[in-house]
Amino acid sequence: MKFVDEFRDPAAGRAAIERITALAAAQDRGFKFMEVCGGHTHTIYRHGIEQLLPAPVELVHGPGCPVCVIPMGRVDDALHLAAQPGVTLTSFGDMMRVPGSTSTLLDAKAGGADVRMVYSPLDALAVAEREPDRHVVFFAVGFETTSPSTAVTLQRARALGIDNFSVFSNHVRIVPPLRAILTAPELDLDGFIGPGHVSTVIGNRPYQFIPDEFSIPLVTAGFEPLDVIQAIEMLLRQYDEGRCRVENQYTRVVRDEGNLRAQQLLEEVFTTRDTFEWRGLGWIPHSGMAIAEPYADLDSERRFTLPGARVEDPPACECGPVLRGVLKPWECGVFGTACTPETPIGTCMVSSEGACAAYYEFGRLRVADEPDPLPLVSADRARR
Amino acid sequence: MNADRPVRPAVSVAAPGPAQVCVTCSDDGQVAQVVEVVDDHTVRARTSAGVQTVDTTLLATVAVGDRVLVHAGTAITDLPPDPAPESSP
Ligand code: SF4
Repeated sequence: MKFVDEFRDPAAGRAAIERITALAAAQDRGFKFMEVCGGHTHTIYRHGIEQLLPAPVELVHGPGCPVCVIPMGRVDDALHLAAQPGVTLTSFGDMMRVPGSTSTLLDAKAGGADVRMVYSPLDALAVAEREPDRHVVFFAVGFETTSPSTAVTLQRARALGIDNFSVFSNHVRIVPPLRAILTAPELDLDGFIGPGHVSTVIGNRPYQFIPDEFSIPLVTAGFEPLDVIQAIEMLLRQYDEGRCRVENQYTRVVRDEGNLRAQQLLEEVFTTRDTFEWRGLGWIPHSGMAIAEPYADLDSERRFTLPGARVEDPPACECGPVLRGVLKPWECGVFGTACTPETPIGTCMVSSEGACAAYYEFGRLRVADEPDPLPLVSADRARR
Repeated sequence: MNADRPVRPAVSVAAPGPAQVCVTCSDDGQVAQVVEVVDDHTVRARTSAGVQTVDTTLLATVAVGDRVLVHAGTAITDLPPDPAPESSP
């Protein structure tokens, strides 16, 4: 791939790891950094970054996989929508495999429900335009990376006068769970690797409360292995130089102010819910995005009566502690046995961004006597 | 090195690749280069996966040759002309 190799250069990576080792040694203490985004979790496992880091630097995985944080009750609501006569339920691929309390959307499809996978909400709107006798519901999930696309779609539906379309919004905001994690007593974090693509939309300024109120740094990072390693170095350098602030490693993509047009459209189309349930994190105030009043007729939650039940996770499921960063995937009792990507019990095993799926796919391939576990070359390339 | 992690036996898994990354629902973006402006909110743009239709409502301006970051069929930001990875993660 063009332009990728420079961000996967093993020599540059090793040099950065040496600098990280020296910076950590100079502080003579341990550091626990959380990568917020599932994309970073994927990069960390895929490229064996955890094994390259010196012992004092620990990475914990955060709640930034949008599929993983959807509670079971919302999946049940989507299944209920899919069962309605005349309804076509459209969804991103990963959500179709997330277990509800009794089944998945894929099961519903196999049972005769009209469930279709789409790559964007605009594709879902196109289905509604093509098939006016169906009511097309888009099962919307995702952080501020994805919600602008849903907002564009709702605006377009309104402009085109399409009324056989609605959105079941499960969009969430990234900042409230960060605050929830910081106020929980169980995690003693020393810094965040901030989400790269969410920040293209919201910018870096919303994270300023983290150094201001909690006195720990955040570095927004890209998704190549050297991006993540450089972000870790930047976090440690702040400790070394006695600074504590929000910094941007991903300057080639992220602007401090974000995308103002996208922010404006989000304001117009969505409204913030008083509270929203997150798997593993419970109810978090002001974290969910509902559809705003001017678009009420395109809101599935107002067009249909949903069960809205709260469903406990299966007793064996440890996704909650994994999503809070207090349990490693392999410490869950059913990891790799009852729970695999083919037969996921919990959401973290469904999406490749989920910590359990990422570790299952890449982390466990390490062998005991391998001196340089994964030398900054992706596992799939290494196999070729 | 972090040696406290239990080592599990390597067993065969399907070769991982881009298809296993959900490019739409994760915090993922694809770098694309605009090859045709279709109308005031639509372009055709080339990504590593080929040419696709991209909505550009969220961009102030767009022209052929521009580089943009695409997520779920929508360009979420424009990019400077210097090279960046074509896709992530
Ligand atoms: S192994 Fe499965 S059940 Fe356990 S935490 Fe991971 S996804 Fe959840």
